[in-house]
Amino acid sequence: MSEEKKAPASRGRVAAAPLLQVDKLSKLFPVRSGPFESPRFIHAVDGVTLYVRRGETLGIVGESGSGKSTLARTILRLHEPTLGRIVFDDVDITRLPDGDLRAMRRRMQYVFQDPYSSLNPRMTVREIVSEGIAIFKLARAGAMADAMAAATLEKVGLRPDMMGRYPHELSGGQRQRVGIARALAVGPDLLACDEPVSALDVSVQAQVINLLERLQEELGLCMLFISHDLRVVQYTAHRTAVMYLGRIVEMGTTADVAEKRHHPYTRALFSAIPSLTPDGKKRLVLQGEPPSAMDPPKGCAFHPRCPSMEKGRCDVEAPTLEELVPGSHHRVACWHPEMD
Amino acid sequence: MTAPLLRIRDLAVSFATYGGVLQALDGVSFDVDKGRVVALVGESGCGKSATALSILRLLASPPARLVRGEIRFEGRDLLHLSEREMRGVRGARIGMVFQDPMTALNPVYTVGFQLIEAIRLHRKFTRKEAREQAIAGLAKVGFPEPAARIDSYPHELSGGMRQRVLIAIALACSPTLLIADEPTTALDATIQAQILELLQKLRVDLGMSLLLIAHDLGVVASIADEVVVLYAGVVMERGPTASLLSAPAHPYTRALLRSIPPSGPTAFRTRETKGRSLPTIEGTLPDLRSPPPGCRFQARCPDVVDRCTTDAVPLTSRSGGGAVRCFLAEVAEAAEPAATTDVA
Repeated sequence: MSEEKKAPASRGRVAAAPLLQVDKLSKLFPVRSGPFESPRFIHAVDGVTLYVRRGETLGIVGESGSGKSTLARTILRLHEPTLGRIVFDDVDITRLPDGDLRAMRRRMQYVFQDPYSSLNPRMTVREIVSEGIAIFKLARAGAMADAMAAATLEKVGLRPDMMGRYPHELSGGQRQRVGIARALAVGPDLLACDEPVSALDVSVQAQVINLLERLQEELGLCMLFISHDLRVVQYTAHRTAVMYLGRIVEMGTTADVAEKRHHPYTRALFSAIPSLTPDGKKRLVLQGEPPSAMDPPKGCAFHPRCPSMEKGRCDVEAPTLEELVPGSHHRVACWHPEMD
Repeated sequence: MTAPLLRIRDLAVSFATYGGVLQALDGVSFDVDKGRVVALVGESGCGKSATALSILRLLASPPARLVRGEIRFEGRDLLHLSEREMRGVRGARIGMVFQDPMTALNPVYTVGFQLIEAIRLHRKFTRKEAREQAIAGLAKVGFPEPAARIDSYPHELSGGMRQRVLIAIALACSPTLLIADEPTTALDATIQAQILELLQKLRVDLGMSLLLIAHDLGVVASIADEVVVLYAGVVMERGPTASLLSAPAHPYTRALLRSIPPSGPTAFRTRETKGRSLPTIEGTLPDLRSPPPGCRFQARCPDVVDRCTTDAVPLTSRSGGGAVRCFLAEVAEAAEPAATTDVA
């Protein structure tokens, strides 16, 4: 099925030109407190710039409410972007009309978080996986579509005899595989995985991570990998973006972000990963909670919780995402990045 | 040595289902000593929550049925108390923190109401006294501005704050044992760190014992003194946290530990090292309606031998403390003399 689309230039390798380019993307949600009140706005995503290449995984980490899911959904135009620009394979899809967008949708697919609620309980695995095939007319209904669905199921490690089952007859790991098969059936180039392993046990989690990596190698997929579990992102993503209150506060290769941790928030997040070998090191525990996106703090959104906050600067002016070392592609938005 | 605070022996619980009787717990034994933190770990469906709910006698019967066993808490066998006596234990002597702070609180009452309700159920306080107690309780769990925010509704609070309220409710009557079922699973990383720190502090300040149910071994490593590994309703291994995690004796424990993505600054994978896949545990839990003879992990075990599929495996004490249910580990320990079964 992937033969009919143009084969990726280098399978399993990262091509130079980005497949996805996002510029200063913002998503605002209006909130009305009453029928006659004028709306206030939640900046769910606030001026995000990023790119992802073919065959590359960009990990997006952050706490709940940091805008990870909204960002991915806006990129796939499941939400209408408010400001900014989304370029997918050299096509500006920001304001693409519905008809043209539909064709693009085949190439950008979403794997949802909860395999328990994201599959329709009244549809069999066959119906779930072949729905996209029918919508995009990739095969004539009947034997051909069935064969295509079966091939996709095999690709995600499910036996074709699962086709007649309903979601409730499957285990959590199997359901997530069906969710991935549903997305893969239409032959996408970009896969946005929203917490794909959070609802699963560690043993099954490892299976799904391995599966996603194998699929990426085989199909040259470009992936957005959203997770609050840094350990998983650290393991699977080539590059990592750390989000806080709708903005990216640090982004670079996973190695750079994990090793240097320039932003104090990145530092706290990494420090919060419970270690398997208690080494007696004091954990850096952040005080307070993420503020509401309704009225974000002035200046740097992280300043009320930041251990190295400078009065008069951090609470007045918001830092922009800049390279600390020119040419390093490791960007940080902080007035006082940690340098040790 | 004094008797442990909680002593569970040979606990077996079954559930009646349409497909037949399901043996959820089969001979579970372990102790929780005063002031200690014991963690129950294992995959979903292995019997962690069934154990916790059995202690509090909260399993609906039917479908649940106690097959055999003993749960001795502060000298009394909880399984033979009347429902009325049991009510004096629940909440008062044993507190429980449930997994999901989003659903465990009643959305139509203020947190203050729910906290005061818990206090007045067990103690003869006036409303005013109980309210003062409630405010003090919220302060103890690090709830900001408790006097001003005690009248908030659950939806007005964040997940971390709700979890603090649930802990405050569980602690309202100063229980000697706190059972926490996945207390940090639904929380963000930085909030999880806060709650773990709080539990650690409360345990030191109040001298309370904690039975922690968790699937995240990282959480377990950071707080528990002892670990009990459950698989398919059976204790596979138990022992002091440090030695169990550094030198696991059971193949299941080893497999669990291996399937966690490595962490630390050197764990990230560069493009070159990609392609090495994470070790997984293939297969699924055995059907507990008709568990296989012999070891319950046999179908997924990488080191399985003929004996595993036929003979019942005893829980054997290890020389370094703890116990393991595996023939292969038994051979490794054979040089050591102390090999008693089941009761450590």
